[in-house]
Amino acid sequence: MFQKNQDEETQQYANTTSPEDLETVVGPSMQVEGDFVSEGSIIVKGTVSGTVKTSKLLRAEEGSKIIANIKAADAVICGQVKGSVRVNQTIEISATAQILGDISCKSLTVQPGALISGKITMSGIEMQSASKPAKRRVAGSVKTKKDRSVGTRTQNEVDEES
Amino acid sequence: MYVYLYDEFLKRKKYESTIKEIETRLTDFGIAGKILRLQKSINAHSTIEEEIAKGAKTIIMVGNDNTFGHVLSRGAVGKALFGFLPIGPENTIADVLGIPVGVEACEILSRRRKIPLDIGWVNNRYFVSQLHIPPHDISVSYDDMFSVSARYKKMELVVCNLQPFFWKNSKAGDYTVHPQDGKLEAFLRPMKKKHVFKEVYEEPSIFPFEEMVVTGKTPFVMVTDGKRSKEKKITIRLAKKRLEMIVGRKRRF
Repeated sequence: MFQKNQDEETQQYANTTSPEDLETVVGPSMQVEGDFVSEGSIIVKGTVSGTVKTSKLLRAEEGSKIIANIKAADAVICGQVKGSVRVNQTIEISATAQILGDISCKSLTVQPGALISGKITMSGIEMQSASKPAKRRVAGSVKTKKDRSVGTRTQNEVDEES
Repeated sequence: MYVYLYDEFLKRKKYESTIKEIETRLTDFGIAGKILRLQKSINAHSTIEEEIAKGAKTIIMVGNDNTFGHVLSRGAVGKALFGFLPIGPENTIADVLGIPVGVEACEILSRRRKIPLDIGWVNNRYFVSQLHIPPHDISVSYDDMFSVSARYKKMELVVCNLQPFFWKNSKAGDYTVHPQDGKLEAFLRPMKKKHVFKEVYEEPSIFPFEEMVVTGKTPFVMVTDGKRSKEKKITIRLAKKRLEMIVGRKRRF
């Protein structure tokens, strides 16, 4: 049992307890398949395929392989990811990371050396796009080109009548 | 009415004085009751059911971790308040419940601070503290959602409920698993190599869960609360707030 190596790595009945410590850990040789959903933080050191969903932090360690669409509150990616990564808050991509898929997040940190292939979408951009039609202010009101042509035709009709 | 279930080992002469002292103290607190002596051949479940039918409201187990596991593995179905009076060595659960070993436990019992506890359910019986499967070729699926397998065939499995498990790892930091958090915690540890004197394990994986199915290609050994059995397929579930228990103020959860 684990108690065999108690002095080295395990010790039961610890005095320090705090509910924040509880995490899901996928060890280096472990392979998880299916809808991997956790209420707490997830640490991935092995392989995960399917979907990954957590309302807290996802940490993919160096050497890990995730072939799945990811949804998390925050993420730290140090391993390989194949699939879309949707993060509500912050994503940190380390130098050893390789991501093949789209990323959406609020805040992004990428270390030099990281490899990303995909579209990055960040929420919170307020700039207007350049493809909208040009507008001209006329006598306190805004008129488009179409409005102006209509106005010219009306003036010609008035001349003919006179 | 109080019913006290004394473990068999308390017959030994060295516990005589402690038992006398405890019985005096219980009388002082006005919580003395009927005393029944447990034997291996006696079914704890039927004994508890019988006493509840006769009007028992509080069942107190007197002994150590083995007594606790033996009584509650079958007896947790009874609708009574349970208490624990730890005596002698091998009392780790008492510490988790905040109950001191020996005569001081009488005071905790008299205060009747009761809380509902989550317990584990495996193949038609309860387990209270821990379930252990020694290294074996097993496959595991969680909550009908995902399955877990390892590159190395043999894996060791520990499921913690009442006993907290503390995994110290200098590289990744320390992890503490808490009892009574509404989930059971499974520790899976693949066996990398087996030397003559030592088995080499990989660092454990941790999965909190509510239902887990463990399947083996060949029958595997399972130890629940110290009791060994051989199984081929087991389903482990969490029975939320199944047991009402008297606990101390210094409990670990």
